[in-house]
Amino acid sequence: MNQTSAMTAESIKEWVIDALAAELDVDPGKIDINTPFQRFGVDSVTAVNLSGKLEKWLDRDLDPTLLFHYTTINALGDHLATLVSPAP
Amino acid sequence: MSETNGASKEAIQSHYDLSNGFYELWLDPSMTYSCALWAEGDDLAAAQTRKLDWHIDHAGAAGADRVLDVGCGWGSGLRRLTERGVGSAVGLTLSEAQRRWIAARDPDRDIRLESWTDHRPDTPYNAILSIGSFEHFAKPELTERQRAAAYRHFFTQCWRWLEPGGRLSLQTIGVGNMTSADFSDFFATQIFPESYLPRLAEIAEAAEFLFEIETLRNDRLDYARTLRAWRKNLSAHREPATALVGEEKVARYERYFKLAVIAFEIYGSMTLYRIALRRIDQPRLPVDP
Repeated sequence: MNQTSAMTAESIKEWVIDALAAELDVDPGKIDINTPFQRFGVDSVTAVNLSGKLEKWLDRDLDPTLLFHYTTINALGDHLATLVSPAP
Repeated sequence: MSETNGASKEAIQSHYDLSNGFYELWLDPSMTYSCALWAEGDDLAAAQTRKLDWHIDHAGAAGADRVLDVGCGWGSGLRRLTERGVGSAVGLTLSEAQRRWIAARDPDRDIRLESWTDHRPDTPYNAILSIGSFEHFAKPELTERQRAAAYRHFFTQCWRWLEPGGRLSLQTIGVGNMTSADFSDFFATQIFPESYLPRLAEIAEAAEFLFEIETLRNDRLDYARTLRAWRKNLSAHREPATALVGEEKVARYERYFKLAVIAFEIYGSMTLYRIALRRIDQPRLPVDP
């Protein structure tokens, strides 16, 4: 992992695993990054809570429908990494 | 029948009297607080004017002598009616803050702090608009039958107030892909107390033998876009907004915008109906007393 880059896709995914686990009150080890959020029982309230925490962490407004378009932690992390990193 | 079937003045004021300055920070300059009608290239202000014109056109109100706006908000519909050549535009609201806001800018405006249930016009209207107020016409605790009666009463009153051939243009949020029980506590208690979202069938049934539906649109995606525009404005003015109403209320509105975007756009659990209705001048069944 590139230490000089604050936010990589991997670090974002790890952060989302912990945040989702806290939101759902489950063990982070049980969160698979390729399982759709919906399968975890993520509804609009959970989605807004999680995207709200992401907004604070990344210090930017995010669309509330984000988790419905990037439906796994894997897809979400890859997408957010492109948002927060300058284009190559 | 009285306003006790719909949201009380206190409930309306708990939402709309929060602070005029707060709403000025994120609504468009016309202070239109309902779903806009978007077209390519519109900004929020243009989309709100487009929405007002849709209702004015579908009510046949342009150039009319007398038009009623039930739930006139901060008066954008009344001002647009005047711009569209209406002689006398009468507005009803239960919000004292809205009435004061309009009166301060436009002292001659005919705006009444009055429930539609108490409205007794001297002469008929040529057209009626009701944009974003039907949601407040029935409290959630009413039984299905009481609610049907409250809605029926509204259409009956409109029928009486309109001259023959007159039209009513209605806009309301409705229940779509959810049961009424799914309506979240957050919306019901924190955002719109004492309000209820109707099913399309309830509206249609309440209007039967009084009005025929001429045009019906479900523009729920327009509401998602409107909410995003409001959220962007509020986000850009978070500091003054917090100074006016406090951090907790700003956070509550931001949460409302986000949850509502998901409801309108992703689930379709909330819908946005624009309904143009024409008065049936010779109803097949007697009109209720």
